[in-house]
Amino acid sequence: MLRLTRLRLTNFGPFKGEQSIDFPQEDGVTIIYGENMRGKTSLLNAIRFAFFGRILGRGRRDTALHKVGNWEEAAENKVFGFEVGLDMTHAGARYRLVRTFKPRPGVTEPKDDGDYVQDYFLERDGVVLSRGQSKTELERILPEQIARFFLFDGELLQEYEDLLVAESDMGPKISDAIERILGMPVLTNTRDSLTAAKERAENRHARAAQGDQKTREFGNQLAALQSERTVLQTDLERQEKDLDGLRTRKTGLEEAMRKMQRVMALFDKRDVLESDIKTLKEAVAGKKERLGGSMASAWCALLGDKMRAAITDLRARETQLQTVLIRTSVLASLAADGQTTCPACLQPVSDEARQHVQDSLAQHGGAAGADEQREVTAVRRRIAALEQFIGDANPQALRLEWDSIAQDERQIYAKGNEIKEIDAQIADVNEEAVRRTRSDLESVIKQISLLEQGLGKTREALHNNAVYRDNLQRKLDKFAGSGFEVERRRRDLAADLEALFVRGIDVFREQLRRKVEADATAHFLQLTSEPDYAGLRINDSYGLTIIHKDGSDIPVRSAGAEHIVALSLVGALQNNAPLRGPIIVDSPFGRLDATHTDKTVAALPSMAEQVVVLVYEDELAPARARAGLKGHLKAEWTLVRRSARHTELKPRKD
Amino acid sequence: MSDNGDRKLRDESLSDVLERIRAEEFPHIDREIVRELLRLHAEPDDDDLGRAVDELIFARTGA
Repeated sequence: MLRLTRLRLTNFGPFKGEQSIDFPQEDGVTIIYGENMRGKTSLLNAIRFAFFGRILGRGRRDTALHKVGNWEEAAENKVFGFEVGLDMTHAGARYRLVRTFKPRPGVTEPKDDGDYVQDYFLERDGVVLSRGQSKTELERILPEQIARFFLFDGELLQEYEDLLVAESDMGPKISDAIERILGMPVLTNTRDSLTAAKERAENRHARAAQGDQKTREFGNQLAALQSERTVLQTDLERQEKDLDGLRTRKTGLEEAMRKMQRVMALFDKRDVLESDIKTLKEAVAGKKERLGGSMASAWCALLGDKMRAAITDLRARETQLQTVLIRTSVLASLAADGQTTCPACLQPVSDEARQHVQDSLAQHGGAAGADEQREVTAVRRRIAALEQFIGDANPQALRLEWDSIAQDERQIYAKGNEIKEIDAQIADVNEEAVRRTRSDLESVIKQISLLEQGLGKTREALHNNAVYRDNLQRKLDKFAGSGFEVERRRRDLAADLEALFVRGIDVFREQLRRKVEADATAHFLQLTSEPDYAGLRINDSYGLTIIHKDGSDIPVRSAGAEHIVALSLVGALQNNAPLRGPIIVDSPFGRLDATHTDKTVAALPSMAEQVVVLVYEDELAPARARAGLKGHLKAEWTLVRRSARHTELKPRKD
Repeated sequence: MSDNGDRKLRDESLSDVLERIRAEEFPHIDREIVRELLRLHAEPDDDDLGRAVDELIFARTGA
């Protein structure tokens, strides 16, 4: 089993200078905590670089290596490039793998990957191996094709969904990798060798037949068919290779399109945000204008009590004046000529009494009540003015208006920030690139379709060729006892061996599928919190479907469920693989709720003997990890920020 | 087949699977050549694999 013992980094990504991390020698889990942008993914990539000389970015695309060296070291000290060292044990031997990426001699200011040179060396038990030995040994320790089962992140886990999609381009590649880790290549390689051996035997058989007068004609025809087969096989291989390349290109373009669709969605979102901000700004301006008017009389709030007292006094005076005015009106009616009764009490009024009233009213110059009328009007005006002052100076209403403006301004600020984030994400996007990508994708899809048709025709021609060859072989086989008898026996043995291995592949593959299904189900039941799920069912491509306890399939699953299923598959593959190694996983809990996180944490030690988990604390709090793993937690490390471009690896001690 | 029988089959190694098929369906093939072929293909990047396979076959079919 492969076990990592130490990782040494020199100016790799944010890991400035020389830094290292030691992995425990006993079985268990190591957790490395780091917040976003501290270098968790860089650690995963450092291990990938050490083994394969590659670094993957978003969308599983290779990252330009010249961008990976520590930026601070390059800026401050003009030190470019980086180095990764990996100590490990495998099959009883100690290995040290060191891979470097350094500027070419004479290059002082390297600009791109071409200005650098990559090199590596491998030691086994202290002895440096030759280039050829190193290559073979590394291929044996960890073939790149199966690295996805040892080094992975959430993005890679999501890809396993493609195993359930018949027409997916990624699915067959993952299936191949699964068969590789399960040890199928030894069978398929033997089958392919035997197919080649059979064809060589057939060729020799044909040549032998050409040398005999009785069988020369058959031999010539057979040799012609065999030549045609060689041409067709070469065509087939080329077409398959081209198709594979086109499918990979299609996957890349689809990923780019998906990204661009996201960009288009970002453009739309930006427009909406800008419109929202405009509306909010108008609303704020209106509110501020209203508030300005109200603020002009805000001083009145200080005199509120006095004004209310004045209103009370004025209302009393208004009542007095109204009484006087009513009385004056009654007297005026009484004094009118021809009036014989009092308009108030309807009693008869004597002429003497009327005269007295008329004299009394005349004393006011015929304008009795005019002063009171003026005063009551003035009093009412003052009451109205005071009431308006009190109303305008309502401090509660002012506060509400202020709060509303503050809320609007907060929204404007938040939406402005969202726009800034979007701008940062779309800074490098240009519309022409979007159009080109779409056109390239359409072109690739057409090419794939044409190539698939071509492949169909080549396969058909190969099939026909095989039928003609079989007929000729049967005819030739009737000539017993001739000199080519021995070649026929060789051909027959190679053919029987080929048939034996073809049958073995079918049986062993089915057996592996059942084992993987059973083990993945065991992991899944340990990981899921849904009691109605009975297990997983495997398809021919090793895709796993969740099965309800009533036997029905669960057709659609969330990203979180996808991760659980993928982790179950990875665990099952580790159980069944001849080649076993560590699991190093970056942020696997991001899509899981607390219950599933706890269950996954608890299951980690059963998935591989050595597990290294890179997480941020909100994803998996240290207390939660310690409670879930107990004695299986062997080491904790933290990525400590020194600057935006400098992270330090430190053992965690809290 | 019983559960035990299923499990037994499921737990067969790769060479067990081939030996069972050889014995049942290809008894005329020598057991050793199957093992030798597996051994040859267990190591990656053997440049002389084709020649080695031919020699195995020649050795069992006479000159």
